[in-house]
Amino acid sequence: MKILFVAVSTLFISMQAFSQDSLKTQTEHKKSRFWHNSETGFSVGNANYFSNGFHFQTINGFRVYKNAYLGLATGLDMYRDATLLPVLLHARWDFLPEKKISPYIGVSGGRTLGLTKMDNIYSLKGGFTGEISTGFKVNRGNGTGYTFSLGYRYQKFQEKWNIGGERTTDYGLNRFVIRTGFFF
Amino acid sequence: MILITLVSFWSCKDKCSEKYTYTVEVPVYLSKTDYNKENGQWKEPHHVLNTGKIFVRGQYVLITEKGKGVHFIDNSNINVPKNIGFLQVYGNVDIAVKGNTLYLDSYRDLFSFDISDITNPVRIGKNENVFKYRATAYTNLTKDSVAISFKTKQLTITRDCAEPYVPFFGETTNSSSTLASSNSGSQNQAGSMASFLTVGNYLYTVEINQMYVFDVTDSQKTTLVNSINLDWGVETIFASDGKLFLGTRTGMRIYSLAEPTNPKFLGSFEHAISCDPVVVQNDLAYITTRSGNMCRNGQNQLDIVSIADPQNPQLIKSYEMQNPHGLAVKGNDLIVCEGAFGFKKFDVNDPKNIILQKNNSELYSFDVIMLPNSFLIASRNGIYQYNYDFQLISQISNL
Repeated sequence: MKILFVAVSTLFISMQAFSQDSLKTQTEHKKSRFWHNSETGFSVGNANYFSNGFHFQTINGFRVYKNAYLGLATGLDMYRDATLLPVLLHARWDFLPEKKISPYIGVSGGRTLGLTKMDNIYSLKGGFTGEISTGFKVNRGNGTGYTFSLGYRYQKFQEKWNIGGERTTDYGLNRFVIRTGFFF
Repeated sequence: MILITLVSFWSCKDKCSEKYTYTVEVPVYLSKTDYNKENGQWKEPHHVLNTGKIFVRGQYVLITEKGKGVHFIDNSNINVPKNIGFLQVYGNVDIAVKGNTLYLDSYRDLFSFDISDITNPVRIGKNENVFKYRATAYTNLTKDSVAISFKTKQLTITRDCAEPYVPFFGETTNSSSTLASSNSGSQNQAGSMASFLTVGNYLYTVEINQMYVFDVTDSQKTTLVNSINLDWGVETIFASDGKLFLGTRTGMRIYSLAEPTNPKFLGSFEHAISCDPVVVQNDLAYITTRSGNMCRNGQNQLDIVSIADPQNPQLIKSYEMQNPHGLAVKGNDLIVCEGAFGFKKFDVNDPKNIILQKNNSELYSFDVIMLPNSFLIASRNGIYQYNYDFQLISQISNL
């Protein structure tokens, strides 16, 4: 419920941002080539060992070609008992960048940092995270718009418990990530 | 296309593997045949590693090493004691001697050894399963091997999280903690924390809530003649003037030995629940009570109790102590072991006003035996011998 609230709130705030006209013109954007995309959603899957979770991601980067973007993605992957901070390289290809609706595909790869810690008892160590995604963006015409995407994310991390011995559990999560957000 | 991709990925499950590293005590087994052969073997002397009870027989000092056996020390020259051998007895906690016979426990069994030749003890008897509440020898599942010791081992279990979790529990069997014994007025002398004691032709042993009486008239044949139920928490036994004094968690119990095979309860001196060895001299009993671990919240004190009327012991005075354990009294001298706080000697000429004479705050000490020209202190890593000026004469653990 809390996760749902955070997700909806984030989406609401992002849409509010777009309800105002951007200060930057489309031309200015194209000149700057700077690109930002924030999205929020859920990571879901079989969840046989680890819960489904809330997902937030923000990508900042550059348009390197008329269809291609490169950026650094970070955010939060919040599961019931653990929170991870991903730091990923992201590449995206827009199929129809000049159209109102443009499908795209993306790929991300990097590592996560474990943020959950409990004194000397519990610690979380991040690991490799990779994702392929597809989605579409809705251009509003001023260099801004909305994005909707679905991705498959593989995420490795390790939990370490220290109670009566050391117990390390290595997870490899296979999850779909469903998200929406905005870009400019 | 997207749908196919979704369905195929959806079938992917999370992967999980677990590695658990922990430390356990694992048994070191010996086949039953070898165990029976090895138990009671006389071995070459080796270092005293884990001091248990101490017992003095004339010039010899016997030191138990918890669960392993007894070290024999020739203390005829107190400046240079000599380690003469080790009697290997698995599961041993306490010892007592009558004449030339050494009695000792091996888990729940009682062994007797002829020690006429102290350099070559010979087993002469075994009473099986006489001690109800002592630890039993740990065997493997098929019961054809017996654990002779335990060693620390680091284990690592790796499993897929889908596999059922089957924890491995390391087994530890600590022999039940029993304390020393005393036999005043003879060449045999035990510490105040003894649970074995010979008086006349009988061996008395105590454990938790039982007192066992063995007839040891015939050294070749030890017979259990009585088993007496006691209140819970009996720890130590001391004999003086035809009476037994039992140190229990709740006080001192006095039993008459008028009928040696059937000690009769005379009276008791109660105190708060704590650990409490007792020694007796003439009409006075010296009882220490302490707090900590198994001793609950007892007061750290020394009680001097008049036992002139054994049916109605009367407290003369209590003295505050730090963490008193074993003690010994001889003439006007009382030595009290204070655990981590060392040991102290008091002048007890006036029981209402005892005077601290000497203090050693360095050595961890838990039991003491007073000899004519020296005294022995049982510490964690061995026995230390001091003269009455508190100067260290020798350290038996280093032999």
